[in-house]
Amino acid sequence: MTAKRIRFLKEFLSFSGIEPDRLRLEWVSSAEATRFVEVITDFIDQVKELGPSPLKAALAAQDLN
Amino acid sequence: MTNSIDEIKYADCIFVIGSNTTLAHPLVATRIFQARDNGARLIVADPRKIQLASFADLYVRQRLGTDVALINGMMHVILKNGWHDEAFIGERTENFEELKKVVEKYTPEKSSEVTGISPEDITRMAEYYAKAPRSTILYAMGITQHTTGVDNVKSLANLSMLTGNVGKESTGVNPLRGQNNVQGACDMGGLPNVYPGYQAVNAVDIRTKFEKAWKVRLSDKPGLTLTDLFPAILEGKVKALVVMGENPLVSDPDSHHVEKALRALEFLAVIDIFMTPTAEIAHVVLPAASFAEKDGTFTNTERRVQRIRKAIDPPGEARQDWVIIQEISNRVGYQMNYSSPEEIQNEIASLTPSYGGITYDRLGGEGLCWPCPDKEHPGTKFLHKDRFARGRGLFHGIEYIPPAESPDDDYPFWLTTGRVFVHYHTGTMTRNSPSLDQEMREGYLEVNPADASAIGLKDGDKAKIASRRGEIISRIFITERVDKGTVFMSFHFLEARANVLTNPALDPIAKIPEYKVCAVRVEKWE
Amino acid sequence: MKETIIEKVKDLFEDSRIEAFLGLKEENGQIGPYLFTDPKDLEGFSLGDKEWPGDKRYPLSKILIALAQKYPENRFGILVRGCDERALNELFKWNQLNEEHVVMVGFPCPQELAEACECPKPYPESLVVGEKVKGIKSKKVEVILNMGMEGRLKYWTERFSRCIKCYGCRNVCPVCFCNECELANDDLIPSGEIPPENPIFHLVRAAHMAGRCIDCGLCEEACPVGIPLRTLYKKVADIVDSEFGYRPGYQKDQKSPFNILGERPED
Ligand code: SF4
Ligand code: SF4
Repeated sequence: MTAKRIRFLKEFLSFSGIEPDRLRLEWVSSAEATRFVEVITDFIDQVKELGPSPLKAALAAQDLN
Repeated sequence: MTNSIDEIKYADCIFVIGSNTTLAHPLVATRIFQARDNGARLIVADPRKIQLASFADLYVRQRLGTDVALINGMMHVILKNGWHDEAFIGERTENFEELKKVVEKYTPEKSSEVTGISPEDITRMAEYYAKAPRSTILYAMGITQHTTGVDNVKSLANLSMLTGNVGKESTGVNPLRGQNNVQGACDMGGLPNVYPGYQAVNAVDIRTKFEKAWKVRLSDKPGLTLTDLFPAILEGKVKALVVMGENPLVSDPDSHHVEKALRALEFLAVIDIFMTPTAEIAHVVLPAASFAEKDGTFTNTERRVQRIRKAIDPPGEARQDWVIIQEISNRVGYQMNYSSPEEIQNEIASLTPSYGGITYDRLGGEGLCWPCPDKEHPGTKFLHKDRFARGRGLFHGIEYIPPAESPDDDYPFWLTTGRVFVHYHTGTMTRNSPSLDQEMREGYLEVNPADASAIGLKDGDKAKIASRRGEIISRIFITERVDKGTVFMSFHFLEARANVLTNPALDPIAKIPEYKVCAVRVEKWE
Repeated sequence: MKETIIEKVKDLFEDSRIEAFLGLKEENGQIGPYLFTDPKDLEGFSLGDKEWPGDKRYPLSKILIALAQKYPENRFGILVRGCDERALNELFKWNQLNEEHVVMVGFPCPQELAEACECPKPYPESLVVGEKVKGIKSKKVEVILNMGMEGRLKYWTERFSRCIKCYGCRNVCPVCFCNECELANDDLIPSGEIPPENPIFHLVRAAHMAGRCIDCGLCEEACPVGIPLRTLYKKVADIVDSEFGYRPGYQKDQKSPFNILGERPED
């Protein structure tokens, strides 16, 4: 169910013009500390690579603050 | 409005000045968005960067109270480039030479110096407005609530006549009126100098007509304007007052002075649907019926007279307005025996030429727009089609005059006032609504980030705001919406009454106070 | 068509199958919702066609919720188009209305309206008159998909920036019935500002419409600033359909699989 929901959200974000890669679902048990760190670091890298959220620029372009 | 609301969506250029349209007139904004989606150009001029500004092809931020200089600057550019409508000016107007002479002096550079808008933008505004086939002007209190309110409106009229943008579909000079029925109240003679239909009280034939109809001798002298009223009370010239659906204690400028005057009255009666601050200090409060509890008509901003129908009974002792007025009148010695609002409407039709053909049997569905002089007349969508009321349209050469008060060392900020989106006027209705109240429980002062940091204020801090007339405490909201040196506050909240600060200086003709400009000091408050 | 419906409603009254009928009535040149409690009143009965077919639609099913709460013992007849029936089907599933107490009197939309509305199912199952009209496949979602990621963001940002937070979309929606609305939750969407936080306000509403929106288009019609809300929710419905195999309002017996933000994740 949760996986479906995430797929829902990803596609929905994409329709709204926000990269779906800004959202990720991973399963990590409380015993897997190293894996937790790995997953988080990897996700941070991924988001960094995507750069600043385009939303901010879009809002600025629309000239609203 | 000279033109009707729906026409806006077919305009080619829309010039919005001094109107926070999305917030105060959302259904007019609907047409602006529709026009824009159809390719119309949108110009927005407002000292605050309002929501609509972000959709404008050109947004300009004029200094407070400099509208005449801005419009003169636009007209200068139009004349210089020959974008004016010579045929219209020749056939439909007079006094063009006087306008030309004055406008000659307002080069874009000079206009820029006063308004703070670049000469290039002034030129572009002129070009967009003058070159579009159908341009319309929308304005609201940002134009009228000035000591130069009448000058501002006349300047807009000059601009529209200069380019032939009046008397045609989707053009015109369109004041957006605030209340659902403020147009109706004025139409019905809710002004000190006219009878219903703007018939002058000092014209003999008119007075005789009303004397005959009402079988009573009538005064030929105009009454007092609202703003002349308070000094007159303090001078002992007015001893009793009936206030109907108003809350002057919060809504009028220089509140402390208003309060003193109201308390000096020998007798004060307030007719309202809620217990307002003004009602609190009244001797007698008469509960009125709300819109859903009464029959009658409302006349909206596009002069459309529409029926309202009672859906539920008024609660408790509340009564419909016409019943209250009739009862008071009967008790003070003038007999009224109306049996229904329809009977009153028929009397209106018989005495008011512009309402002559407006009767209940014709008011189903969408209603009728006046002028509607007779039973066969279909009503009037836009005014001034082939001629102006006075014949030819009169140009006025108007010089720029600065606001009555400007910042100085003691009061270094410009203060301007207006509305927020959830509240209405003094909040007597909206602050009684749980959902609107939860949206906004207190007022705030909008401050530019640079000013806030100079004063040492953080978002949400409390500040003391003082003018020559009084001081109040309010939270601040830091935003680029206001320019450096300007602060904004809404006037809805009794606890932080912006009108304690505002300047009661009046427009010499309309007697409207300068709510939109005064000078204040802002300090941290702890 | 109107006469047949009136006859049908009269029969319902006569057979004591209903105590009141919720429909539309034309009065004083205006068309509005009306609760008929006496068959004699059916004189002014209207199908909601004023200037063009179906230009006066109202969320009758939503009004019925309020009536049913006030009169829980009574049985109501209700005038339904395809969309109204879909709304009622959802409201039955969410226990907002008791199906036993509701009699639907269905009529099809004219082809013209179906086209203008781009309605996939412009007729109800409970037709008492007329023919099943051909459903229309909307192109609007595709048009937006073709804008590309950047184009879409720009488009929605511009549209959402127009919002004046009037709540018209929510208030007219036949399947918006939560007691506490997340849109008014100050922690999620700061109150007191227009436009409300962009795009959160609109994404929150859209997400809440997942598995609920029956594509009636009333929200978009009500929106004073022209935000294409229906297209946004159409996409939501498409995703829900492909992920969960569920189209709200269509299958009467299929339970709604989820309420996307309301319940706790179970796996
Ligand atoms: S189309 Fe709009 S009003 Fe109709 S069900 Fe969906 S969200 Fe609600
Ligand atoms: S109807 Fe439109 S403007 Fe009103 S809250 Fe909904 S989206 Fe915003």
